[in-house]
Amino acid sequence: MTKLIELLVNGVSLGMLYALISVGFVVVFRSTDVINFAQGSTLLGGGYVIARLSPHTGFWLAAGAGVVAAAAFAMLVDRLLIRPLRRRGARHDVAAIVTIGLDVLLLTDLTRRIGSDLMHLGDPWGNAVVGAGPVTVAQTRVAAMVTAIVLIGLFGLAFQRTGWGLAMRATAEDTEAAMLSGVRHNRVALGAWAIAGGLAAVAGVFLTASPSPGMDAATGQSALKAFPAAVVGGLDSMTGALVGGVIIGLSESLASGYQAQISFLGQGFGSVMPWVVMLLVLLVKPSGLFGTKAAARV
Amino acid sequence: MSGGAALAVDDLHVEYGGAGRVLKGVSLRVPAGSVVALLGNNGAGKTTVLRAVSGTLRLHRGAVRQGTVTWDGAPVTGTDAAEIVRRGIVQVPEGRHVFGRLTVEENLRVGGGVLANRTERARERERVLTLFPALTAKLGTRAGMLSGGEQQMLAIGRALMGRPRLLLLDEPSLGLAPRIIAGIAAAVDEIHRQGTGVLLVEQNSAMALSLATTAYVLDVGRVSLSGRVGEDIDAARVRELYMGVKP
Repeated sequence: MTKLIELLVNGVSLGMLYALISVGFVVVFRSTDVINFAQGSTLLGGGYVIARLSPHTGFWLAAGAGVVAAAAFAMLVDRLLIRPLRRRGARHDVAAIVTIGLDVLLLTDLTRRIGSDLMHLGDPWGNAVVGAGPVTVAQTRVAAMVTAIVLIGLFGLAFQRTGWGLAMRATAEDTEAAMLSGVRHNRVALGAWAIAGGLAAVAGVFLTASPSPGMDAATGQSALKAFPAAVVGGLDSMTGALVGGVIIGLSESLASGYQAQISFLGQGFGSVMPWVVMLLVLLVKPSGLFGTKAAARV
Repeated sequence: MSGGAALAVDDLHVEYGGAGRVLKGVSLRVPAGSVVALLGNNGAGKTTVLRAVSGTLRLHRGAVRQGTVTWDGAPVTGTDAAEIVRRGIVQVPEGRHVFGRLTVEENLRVGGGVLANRTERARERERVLTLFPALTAKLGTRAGMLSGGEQQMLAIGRALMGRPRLLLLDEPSLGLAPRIIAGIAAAVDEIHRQGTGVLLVEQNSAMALSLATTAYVLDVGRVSLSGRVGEDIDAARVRELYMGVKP
């Protein structure tokens, strides 16, 4: 029972991190129709900046710089690579493939820089745990949950209440009509990419903090598990990103925790669980749980 | 609003993705504050003319190959659509294209986003709701739930929120009942009376000619007939020559 509760808490916490990254997928997809496969390397890049700076500046300044760097990087991607395609009316899948190429390039470079070492971001939580009775959970997991809830909440509020959010929703629904109403699509897009980059870096901090051993070149890969989270949620729904994230986080956590019981499926089944869940959901609901556009089109 | 050509389209040639020319040298004028009708069959290129003016050709992989579009003497070609809205030209797209998942109020707010401040937005909102009182009761309703006529009112209202000096209307009568069309026509007349110019694209030539002082008829990418309504052009002549009889 204790184990189950711990797995559930850890799963939700992990799921919230996937949700953070997935919100990034969703805002970019909603505003530009592009699936941004460079999220993983953006996350890794942000983490790299934090790991490099934190011994000199301390964690918080470094974290701020890393988040800003990832956001700025994502904005550059939109400005330099995606906008020219948009301007010429290129197909959206071309842009998606461009982001795959970019991801490969960046991962290669970051892998070279990081080497075989584990990098530590220098977060202040260390190995501390919080407990209630026999149940103990790493403090970072709790911090991750709180941070993700606050960020997603703020973001949701901005989405519903601000002029920027309105422009974003209008663009998501009908880009041409939004432009004809005076919405500056390039600005909306730039904002969306910035948010996606920033959120990815925040998620990176928690994905590499204890009890994870640290950041290595594979961290970018694990970030890609947010992709099934976004697809399960529906790719164009904020609620979907949140719910999809939690579903993926929980199923990964449970499959890893009860590995012994499902060993007939092979070792390490937890790490492929997100993809299995994605396939199952898509078989039943091709547009995802909350999606309006068919994700199958992608 | 003084006279003179506010919008001038000269010798406009447009292609879509290299697949042949849709416009082959179209020229037309919309003097400030006037109502001009652009008529013609499906595929004649009417919508393409509007796209060239509103800066949305690119979204359809279209490009101006030759000729110019100028607004108040300054070229518009190559300008971003959102920027053209700020310069005072707003297009109401064919098929209305309201934001169905947003409320009526939010649709209007999107259109008012180009205005400088709250006071101006409130004033334009007031003007729109006076013009289309039916929208007042529906402000909190999702636009997707509105009837076709209400959606057309909302689409025009959303465009008016940007306080245009020239309104581009693409087939506002499409799919609407005659009684509703009469209401839309009355609204367009009122918009004109308040000083906004209108370029009205229609297949419903009777409605368009009842509002316009000048009309152009497009036929496969060229202007085949143009002139003053009632002198050079009338409904019977347009119908007989180019339109086929509307049901």
